[in-house]
Amino acid sequence: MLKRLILTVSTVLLLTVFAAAQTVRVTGSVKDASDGSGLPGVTILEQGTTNGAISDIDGNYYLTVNQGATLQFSYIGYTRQLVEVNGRTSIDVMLEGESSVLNEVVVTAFGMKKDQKALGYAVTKIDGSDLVTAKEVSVASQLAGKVPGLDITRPTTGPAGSTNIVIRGLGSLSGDNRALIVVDGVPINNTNINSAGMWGGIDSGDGLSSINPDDIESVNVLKGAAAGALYGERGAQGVILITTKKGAASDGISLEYTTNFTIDNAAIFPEYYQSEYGQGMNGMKPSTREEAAQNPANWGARLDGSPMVYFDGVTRPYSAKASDDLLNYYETGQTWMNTIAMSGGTEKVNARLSLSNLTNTGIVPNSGYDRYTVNLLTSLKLSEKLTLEMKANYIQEEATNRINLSDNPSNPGKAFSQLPNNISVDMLQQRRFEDGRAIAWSANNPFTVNPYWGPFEHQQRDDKKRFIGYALGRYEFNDWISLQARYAIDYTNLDYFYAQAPGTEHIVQGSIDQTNYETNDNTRDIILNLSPQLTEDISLNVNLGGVQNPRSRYDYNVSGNTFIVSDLFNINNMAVRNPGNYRISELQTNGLFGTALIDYRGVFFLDLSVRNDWYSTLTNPTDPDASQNSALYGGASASILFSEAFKMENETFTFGKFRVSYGVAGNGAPDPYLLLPTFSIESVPFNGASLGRVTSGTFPGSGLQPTITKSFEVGVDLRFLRNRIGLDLTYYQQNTVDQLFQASLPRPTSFDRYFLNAGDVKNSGVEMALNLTPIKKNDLRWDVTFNFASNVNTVVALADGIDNLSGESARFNANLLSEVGGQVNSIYGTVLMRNDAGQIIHDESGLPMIAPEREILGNYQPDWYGGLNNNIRYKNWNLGLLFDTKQGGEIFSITNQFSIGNGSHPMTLVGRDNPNFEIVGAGVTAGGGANSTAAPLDDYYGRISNAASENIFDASYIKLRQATLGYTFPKVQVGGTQLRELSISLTGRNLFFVQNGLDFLGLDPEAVYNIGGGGFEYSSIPSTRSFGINLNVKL
Amino acid sequence: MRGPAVLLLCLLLPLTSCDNDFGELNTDPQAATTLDAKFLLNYSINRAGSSRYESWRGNLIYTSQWAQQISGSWAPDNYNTTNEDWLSAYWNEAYGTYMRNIQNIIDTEEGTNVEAMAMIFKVLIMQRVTDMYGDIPYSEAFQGGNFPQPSYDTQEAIYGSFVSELRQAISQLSAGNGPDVGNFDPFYSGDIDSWKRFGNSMLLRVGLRMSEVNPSLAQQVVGEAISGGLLTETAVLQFDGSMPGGVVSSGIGSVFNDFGVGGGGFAFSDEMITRLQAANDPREAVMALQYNSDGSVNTSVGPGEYIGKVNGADITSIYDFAMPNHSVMVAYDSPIIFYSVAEAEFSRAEAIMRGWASGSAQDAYEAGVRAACKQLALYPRATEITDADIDALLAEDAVAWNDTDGMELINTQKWIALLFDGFEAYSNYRRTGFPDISPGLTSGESPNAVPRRMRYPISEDLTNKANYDAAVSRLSGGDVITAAVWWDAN
Repeated sequence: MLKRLILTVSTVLLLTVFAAAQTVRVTGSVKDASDGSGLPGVTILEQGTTNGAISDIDGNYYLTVNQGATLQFSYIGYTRQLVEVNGRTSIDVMLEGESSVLNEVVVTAFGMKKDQKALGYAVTKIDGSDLVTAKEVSVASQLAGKVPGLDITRPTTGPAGSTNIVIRGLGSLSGDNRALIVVDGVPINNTNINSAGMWGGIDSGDGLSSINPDDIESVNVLKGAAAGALYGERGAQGVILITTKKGAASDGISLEYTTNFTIDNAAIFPEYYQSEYGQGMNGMKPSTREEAAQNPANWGARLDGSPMVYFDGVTRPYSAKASDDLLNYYETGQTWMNTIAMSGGTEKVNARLSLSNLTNTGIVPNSGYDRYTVNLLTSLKLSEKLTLEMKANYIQEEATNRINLSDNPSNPGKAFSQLPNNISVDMLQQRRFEDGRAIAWSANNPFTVNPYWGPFEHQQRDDKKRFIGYALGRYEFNDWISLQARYAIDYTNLDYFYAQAPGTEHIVQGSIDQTNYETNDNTRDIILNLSPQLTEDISLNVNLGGVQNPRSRYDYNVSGNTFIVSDLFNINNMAVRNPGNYRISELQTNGLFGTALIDYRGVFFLDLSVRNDWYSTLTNPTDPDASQNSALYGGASASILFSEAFKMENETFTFGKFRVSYGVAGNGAPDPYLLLPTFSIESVPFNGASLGRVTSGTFPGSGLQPTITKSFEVGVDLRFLRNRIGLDLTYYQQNTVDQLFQASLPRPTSFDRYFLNAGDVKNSGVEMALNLTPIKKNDLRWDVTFNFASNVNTVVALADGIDNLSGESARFNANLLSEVGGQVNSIYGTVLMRNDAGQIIHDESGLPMIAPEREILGNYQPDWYGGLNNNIRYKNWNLGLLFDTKQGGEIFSITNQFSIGNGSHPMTLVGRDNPNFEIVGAGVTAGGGANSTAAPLDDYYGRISNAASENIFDASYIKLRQATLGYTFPKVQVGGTQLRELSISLTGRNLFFVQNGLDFLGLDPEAVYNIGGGGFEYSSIPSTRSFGINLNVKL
Repeated sequence: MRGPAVLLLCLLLPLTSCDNDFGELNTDPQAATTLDAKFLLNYSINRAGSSRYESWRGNLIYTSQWAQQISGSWAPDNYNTTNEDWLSAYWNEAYGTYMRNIQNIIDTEEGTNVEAMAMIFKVLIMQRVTDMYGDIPYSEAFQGGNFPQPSYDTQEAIYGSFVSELRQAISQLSAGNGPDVGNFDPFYSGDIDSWKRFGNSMLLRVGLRMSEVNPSLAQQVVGEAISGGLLTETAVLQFDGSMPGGVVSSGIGSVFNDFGVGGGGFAFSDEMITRLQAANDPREAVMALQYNSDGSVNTSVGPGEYIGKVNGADITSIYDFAMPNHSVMVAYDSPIIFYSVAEAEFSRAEAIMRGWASGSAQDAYEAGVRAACKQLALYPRATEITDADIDALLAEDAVAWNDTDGMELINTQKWIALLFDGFEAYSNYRRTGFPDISPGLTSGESPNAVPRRMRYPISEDLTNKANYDAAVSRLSGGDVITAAVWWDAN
């Protein structure tokens, strides 16, 4: 079906571009009247048509028009100019700077385009061109540092892993605080289907990692419930609106080819380990192969180079490996991305088709990711009144051997944080004895394996096929009434395969786990638009609509263990088959909404919205009518262009706007089937009699109703010196109340969670964007953008009798806790007992004491964060430097815990010279006197490592996130055809840290293992530094 | 149906039409909303024996190592209990898994035989929990959001409830009283008389536990239990071996086999091996083997030469010590014993010694030893221990009856018979002080003394703080492993 669609539309596209007329080809340049510099990006339009062009980087343009046409030159911040062609072939124009500016168009809910000046809330726009030069696999991570109030974390989970995008702090207690992603007006599924938890796992990416960056026209970030109100339940956490490129009326077709090659290298990794003492026990090096394999911790003798029988039976010197030995393991990752795009059209028909592929190999050996996309957008104006639009985007993603994370024994980082100081990578090449058994360097712990085991013995792959598309019809009854209907689909099929080879130390019989996930999100909406001009001064724009949003997910899992034949990775080769598991999740939200925008003389705007949603997840099957399953809410925002209203503009003060908004958004429960208990039958009986159990671990509360988010914001937008200085300030406060969340129940209740309706989380803060153009001359222009956001997150209330809510647990000694008066998801962990003077308190065995109760030790959310973006253009050269920072968050590092516990941390050198392998810990006893009891060295440091308080670090950083150096070739001719653009750039991503709170540990503050936002680091793989080259050709 | 047309109607009609069919949509098409109690009973009992998770942590790592029947490379062997997951495993599964299902039977099958069976099993499980931790939530427990923060009952009150619940269950059991669960009862295939005996035997276990703290109540309950009739058939989960590593195979078997020989990290303790060897016990040859690190049997040592691991001692290799025979004692199809005839006989012997029951203590003791040897026949591929072997064992100095050492003999033999039921072995040791074991070599949280209890799971401090704090305040020295539980008055 898709194939036929592409064929039809392509044919139409090709036929229409050959339309000919009495035309003339006009060339020329557009310059700034104030300094004569070329103006890039000026829109040149043949008046009365949609035929147009955009000036290039030097301000040059060309366009084929009717001989008698009038050209319209428009550019943001400049007065529009109309020029008659009169048969001329060369037209140069000078544009005058405008005093009242900002006609920038942004995209808001349902794809409605609005003048930014009309908005009563903060929206930040990023042009697609800012995202295509220095690429990452997922466009999400490229937003870091570019938008005030957008908190991006890109964990070290592999090149195609997921990204955490949080806008204005953590509002929800129930876990998902990520912003809604909307592409071309349709919410897409951004679920991170597979993610790592405390016991391990892999990150199979999210919905955004499917989107080809070269297809993106612009990204608009809507913050706050007022902006998101129209997306209903899913917009309360803010919205990322992505608009993809479309075809436009033009003379002839446009061809664009972009290619990008990037290499990634392990850049940040632990190098601080001590290199003086090696593996062993009680200060002695192992004396036999068995002892070596059983005692991998660095509690042995001084590394003296004497011969030692290693874990594999080979005798080698007992000496330290190089501090960067792991670089012999990690490889240079490579990513090659290509996009070819064709577009064109006439007034009646336009289309854009892009094809792209991406091939990646990761830094972990034998890992990789490929992505293929095809994206077709077309618009057909069938009559003056009827327009049809269609979008078809098909994506195929294939990943192999994604990184095993956190506690997964095959996490290579877990091996590197536990390998003895004297075992280097070259000793690990051999993975098995001749009889097939694993050669274990840590035979005492089968859950730590050779770092080559996972990539080469296991098999992991996932294959995602996805279709995102819509069909839309719009009928314009007259020039002020139109009706639009749309059906949008986001369908994903993910096939996930994970096999652990037979002989794996912790599952010697081997295992296979295979799941097929199918998700289908539909959006069906109808919008009636009324835009009457009421009086000369007042215009009105009203939308009335309805939307249905059904979402479903089906998981089918088969698994088993015990390979019959050792090298056949097929589920039927498993002697033991676990019961198959088929899971269904279906839910739907229906909504009715209305909006009204009142525009008074283009200087005062009032935007009103109201919406009612119905949620299937809050409908109790036993009594649907009595269920409180609907919410009525709305918002209002107002803005005034006071500079224009009060005629305040002058040479210095260019523009001023004041805005204020208040909005409320409702939210249903995220998951279905939580209102009734459920029972199931186990597939395997016991001696012929079946087993059955209560499946639901959640105890449903009574009288559940929707969650409500209330949001207030006020802001100003000021511009000076003809836009050379711009300042945008926002203050906001957002409360999320009556939260639907699953509170942890103490286990003696026999249930895990209590599904209830309570709580109040407040986020308040300021956001600032400062735009400066310090230099603007003929050939030289320097733009600086500084953005800053600070958020204060407070749990105002939880439920009656519940004063804290525990969240995700780390594998050891810490978990997340949201406590009344504190922040959401604080790190709560064990604490080493110290007296008032800060000295460690020891017990009667001479070991440091751990306090009986956990304490709040920090929170991964930063106090403030921001970015500094420099863009310098000199003639055809362009230099970009982007720094970003987060300040004031904390991270919990299990890598550090391991290094203390296994004697590789330099602090464990203290006490090594004691002949009895004992240490008298510095500090006091519980009685208060000086500690004089000696304790075994390994027990002593083992105890310290177990206190989470010793493994908490400042996660602040300043990073040179991106650097680009580009050159645009002037007027290149190829075979008589002039290229519209030819540019080449050198790029770098994550180049270096200016500041890193984890510098000593050699860890990246983003090196958490999932996007839950908790700040747990567990033997992460190194974060990478990338260098790339980007070539763009437009024909 | 749900196309744009409906949307248009939605705009025009009364708003209530916008949630048509939502009740149906919000019903899980793959789940039942009620289920026959027999399935739940079968599941709960099975799960208690077949889950690797808590069999490993609650049974082996904690109670069996602290009873010093086995010893291994796992931290609590040296009295360090910082691993919260291990500490909370049995608590979480008992309350969260077994009791969620058991309570559903009790709530829906009031007055029936299946309810009575559920109540007896409830006492078995919850006695393990209170014995491990001390005061625990009981009267307000198992009720979900009805008591989101259940208070902790004193162990004394809980034991009172155990007695009355068992009495009720025993009296409720009668032919024709409710559904016949048949082979959905993995212990006795629904046989009412066997369940009455099981109930009486649980009453004996509960009563005897109070011997040091409330002797008069203990005497009354024990007497009542014995006169009611004790079990004559061991309550055991006997796996058919068809599903290694699956849902219905031994949880302990999974610990010892999922990671290859030695991967489970446990050997016999020195205390166990030396006692077996001191009596030339024929069971040593059935129970123990020494292995090489490649998983093959180490044929250079045999019974009488095996070495057990000293609890708490650092070791270089687990293969230096005798391990449970992997194809007999800890195979995937090895049985899980919940209550043995041997235990009932040993308890009866003690009751007679205390003067709480009539009969000959020696006879009961010897019947116990005999049953303990014969119960090895429940294990697959076990070499049979003959009556002659048992007669010889009973004649050994270390085993032969004498009145003076009766209590020690009874409870030492009971401890051997309770191998792989660390829950009961550890409690019986704490109550009686037998066998006379040396505390582990360790500088952990309980220096030079066997720990008296387990710390509460950290989740209680997080989610049920006020009640947790109140319970901790009743402990001597706080939430520590050196504080004794109520009945541990010895």
